[in-house]
Amino acid sequence: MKELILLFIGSALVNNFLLARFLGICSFLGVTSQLRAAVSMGVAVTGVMFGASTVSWLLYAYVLDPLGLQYLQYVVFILVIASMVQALEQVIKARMPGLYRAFGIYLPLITTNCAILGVALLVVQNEYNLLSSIVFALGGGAGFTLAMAMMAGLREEFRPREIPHAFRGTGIGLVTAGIMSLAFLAFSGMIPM
Amino acid sequence: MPLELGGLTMVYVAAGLLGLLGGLIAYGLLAVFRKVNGGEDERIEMLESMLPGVNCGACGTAGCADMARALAAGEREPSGCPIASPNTIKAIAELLGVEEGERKRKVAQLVCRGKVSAAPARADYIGLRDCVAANAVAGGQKGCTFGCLGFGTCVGVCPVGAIKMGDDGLPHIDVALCTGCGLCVQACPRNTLELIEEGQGAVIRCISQASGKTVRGVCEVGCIQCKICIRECPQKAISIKDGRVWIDPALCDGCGICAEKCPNGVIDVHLKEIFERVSA
Repeated sequence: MKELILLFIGSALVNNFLLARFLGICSFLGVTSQLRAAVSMGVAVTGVMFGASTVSWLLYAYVLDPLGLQYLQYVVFILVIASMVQALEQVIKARMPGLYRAFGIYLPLITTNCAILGVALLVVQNEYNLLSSIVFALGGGAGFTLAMAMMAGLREEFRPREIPHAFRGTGIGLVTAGIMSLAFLAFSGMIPM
Repeated sequence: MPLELGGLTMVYVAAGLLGLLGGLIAYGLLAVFRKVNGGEDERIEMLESMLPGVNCGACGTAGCADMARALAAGEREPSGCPIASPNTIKAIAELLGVEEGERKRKVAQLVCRGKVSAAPARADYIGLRDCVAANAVAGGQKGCTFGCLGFGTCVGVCPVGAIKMGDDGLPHIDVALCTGCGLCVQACPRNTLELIEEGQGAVIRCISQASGKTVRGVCEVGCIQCKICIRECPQKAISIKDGRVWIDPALCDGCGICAEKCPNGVIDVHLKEIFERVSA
């Protein structure tokens, strides 16, 4: 039990996918102008992370590994992730059109969110069992959502401020991300990657 | 124990596995599509194909796809698209079974009269022939730090080719071609282009915020902020806003007194003629 809690905290905070591993930065800058959209994006990514890593783990453990086709893991995992995002996109488009528009291109781009492929590959690489993989994926998703919410909160806060012209938009976003990442470095080494 | 598959067998197994997986996923996705896509409005797709599709954003939505959605939802009128032809708007109105709505034409106008002879350069600029680049170098080559730089960045962004550079160093806008999309207004680093709406009475063709003395030193046809127009306007429509003289279009009735009194002839009240040329 203690190990699972450590694993969760490890993937959520200490080795945060956005701020310590620098995976999935695209939506980190793209969908963090509004807090609501950012948190929704975090939840969507968490869902896909959980689903994709579970299915990937099962496929790897019961199909790829026994057949000696480990080298297919990238192709198969991407296939699983892409199809999950497609399904998710259809559901969001039909049920939550407002959110669908807020996401824009970043919803189909979850497919190429490297944090998700990262989780799927890491659970295989670290030889986790199924329960550990699920905890790892949920922790990663929680950390992702947390970082997205923090970033969106900061960006909402400084939007009305007078920012020098050259820094506006992505510039100040990257500076903020860098400083947040420095703050998260304080956790580093507490739990190994 | 991993199987030891050799040579071609391994290729067949891999191909078969990927094919099987792809088929299963495709079947699953199809099931999801069928389940959630019951109530999709098919008019949106038709509307999207009817709209111009240039995604200029002049209607105020995010692009043509978003406009199609807003039209289908009844949030916007067909005439809300400022660049669609009258026939297109009619067709959209028929498809939706709604009124076309009244469209106020907008055209872009230059709010600077500082041609090279009237507002000379203070320096020789030899960099990129682009207003944004020139403006980045110590505020441009022009003596006046507010006026049009004249390198024609607006000419390049105009999607309909309505803007041409004149020999006087200023862009000239063919109002018969201008669709009022506002791309040139966004592109101008000096904000010397403005969208004028049909029915607006007057426009001040100078956006200088400098003192009268400074303006006199750099431009023969600039606004020196003498404030005569503010005093003379019977509608009290003119005031100082953001450091420059500004006419409130909601109050101005186009009487033309300000234009007569202005010592430098900066105020233009011949906007009706411009819009007559638009419809011609």
